[in-house]
Amino acid sequence: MAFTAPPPPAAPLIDHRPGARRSGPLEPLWTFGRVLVTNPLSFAGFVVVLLMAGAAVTVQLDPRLLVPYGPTQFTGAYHQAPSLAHPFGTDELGFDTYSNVLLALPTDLGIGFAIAGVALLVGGTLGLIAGFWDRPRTVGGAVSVSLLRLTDIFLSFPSLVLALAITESLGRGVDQAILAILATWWPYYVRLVRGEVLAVKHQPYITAARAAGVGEVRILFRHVLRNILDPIIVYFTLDVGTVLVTFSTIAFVAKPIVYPGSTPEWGSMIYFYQDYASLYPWLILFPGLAVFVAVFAFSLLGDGLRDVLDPRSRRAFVRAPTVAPPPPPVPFAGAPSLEPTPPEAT
Amino acid sequence: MTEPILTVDGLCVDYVVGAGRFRALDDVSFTIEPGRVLGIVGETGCGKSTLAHAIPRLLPEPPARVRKGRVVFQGTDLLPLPRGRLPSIRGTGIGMIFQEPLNSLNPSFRVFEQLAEAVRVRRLRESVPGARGAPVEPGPFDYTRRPLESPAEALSRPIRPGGPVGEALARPAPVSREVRDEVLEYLRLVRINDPETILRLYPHELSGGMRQRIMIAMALSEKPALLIADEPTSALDVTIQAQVLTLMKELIEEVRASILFISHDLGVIAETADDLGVMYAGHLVEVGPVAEVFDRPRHPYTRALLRAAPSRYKSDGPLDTIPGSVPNLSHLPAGCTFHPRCPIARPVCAVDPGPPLAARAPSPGTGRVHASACHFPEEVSGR
Repeated sequence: MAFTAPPPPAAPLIDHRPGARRSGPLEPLWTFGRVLVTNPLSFAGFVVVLLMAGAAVTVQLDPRLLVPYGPTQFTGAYHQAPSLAHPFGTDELGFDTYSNVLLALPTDLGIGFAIAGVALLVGGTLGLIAGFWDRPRTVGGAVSVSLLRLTDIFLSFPSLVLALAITESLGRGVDQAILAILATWWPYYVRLVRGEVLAVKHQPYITAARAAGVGEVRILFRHVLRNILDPIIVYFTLDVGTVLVTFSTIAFVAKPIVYPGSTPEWGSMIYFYQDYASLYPWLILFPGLAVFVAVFAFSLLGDGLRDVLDPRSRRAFVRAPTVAPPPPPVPFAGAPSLEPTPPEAT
Repeated sequence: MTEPILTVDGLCVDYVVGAGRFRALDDVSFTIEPGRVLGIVGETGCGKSTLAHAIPRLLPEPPARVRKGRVVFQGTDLLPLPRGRLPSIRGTGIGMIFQEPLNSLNPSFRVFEQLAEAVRVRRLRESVPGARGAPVEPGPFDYTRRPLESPAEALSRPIRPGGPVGEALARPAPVSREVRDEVLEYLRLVRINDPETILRLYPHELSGGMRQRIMIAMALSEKPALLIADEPTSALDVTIQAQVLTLMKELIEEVRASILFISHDLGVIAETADDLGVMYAGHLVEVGPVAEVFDRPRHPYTRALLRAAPSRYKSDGPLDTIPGSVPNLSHLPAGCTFHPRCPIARPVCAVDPGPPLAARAPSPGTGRVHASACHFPEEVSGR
């Protein structure tokens, strides 16, 4: 082996430079900021989600600040292509598409969060219980098994078809559509959370907590929940987008919402304008784009959140490269070369 | 003779996997007296860790199943206790240090939160005697002596609900100065430099030796009456092992708790333990004061194990080995489990498992039991 120069000192494990690591109650925020700065796509997703949420709140409080026309207000122009006056064009009834897309924002975002949130709360709680107390031949085990069979029943139907069937049977209306999607949505969270609990609850640190005398309920809600929270939050963020798509699909197929009407919704807009797709493409382009942007922004944000929440991937941001990588080993001058000398051509 | 702090009596633990039944522990009996350190040695798979986990009932059931026996801790048999009362025994009663320091700290909590939880568990129990399960006697280890509570203080204390729900509902006290100071104190106790910085770190930012020190600090901060150390050094590399062992030795001197020290390293046991138990294939084959067992082993397996240990003073040729291989725990040989490999085995060994360890009276010389499960203990030391 060739002699090599001594390697330079390794980068310190923890960056002690001032400002490199802030502690205190605001530390998650600093980390979040650092992750966003280093990851432009998550940053874009974060900004778009913030903008959409802000716009939704504004529209809900006072639509006149952002929206030029009411949902069924006649503008005086039919089938206008996008222009400065009508950024997304107008339809055959003379309604402004831009106004309707914006007015649908609170409905669609609210539905996304509400469905995913209730499914998370209900399914997540059941999943925690089913995963943690699953010892066979006990009360907990019986509860766990029955819960799982129940989710199996729900999951054995194609969820979209089931949701459509429930919507049809409940009748038209936003609330009915929300209920229908919820009924098909919570079993996924039971499965997800239960799987995560099963993976975590046999970890040595759970046994260690038990050995330290921590009670079972506290182990579940402090030690187990804290360790599965990160993937669940990430999944939830991504899921808001999925719910949006599903709701738009149901709105498109089952028509629970009357459009044009007082509460516009992207899926029902696309349904209403589908016949004009070739003639006046902007009528379905912009509602579709709204769905796309919302879903994409939520998945980008979900990826960014994953980096923030996992302390192990956080290390990548704590340990900034302060020292240049070691130079390639320099062979000792006196060492014989290991390379075979090429035979000289004669 | 003082009342033993822990009495394990005829403990049998099986692992039931599919149709197979593996006898991990078979009729294990021993006692630990207050302030003594009992070392348990044995080769891999002989049931050392099963024993360590079975005492505070931490074995996953299934697959494990305690077939029979008693584990009497401070006068209470732990095995028939309902599960809900076990947390009140663990931690402050029986503390544990685990084999895998890398995975035994919760990756989502900072060092401070890990230690503060242990400190808070102990403080909660000190403040509410008898509220949760059996009253837990404070261990002989009293690092910071608590003043006795006056009746007026006891009356003004808020009444909290008991049980696991009560503990879950009890709001974690705000990070008080006292808890923080105590956590820092325990970090210094396990010789951690700059504890203020270490407090804020996550486990993945610490080295293996550091993590094991944190584990030790966690276990000690609950002031357990009995500490079970399950191979605390085997996952660490040799230099760190030496550091942690030195620390353990110093702490054993300092805290004077009763300790069950499990290891496969004879040298470690020789330096730390007062008594020594030797395990083979789920059986405890010999128990006695550590010097006596080392000098005059009374079981052929102990003698073979001692001969097989490398010694820096002995370099004449290859190390001794034990002929044959460890028996399959699902098909143990009849009689004494060691007889197929035993150099002094006789026909009776294949039939009779040997005298039970518990039946032996204390030897008249030292007053301490030096018992062996061998039929012919005199022949072992004679050779």
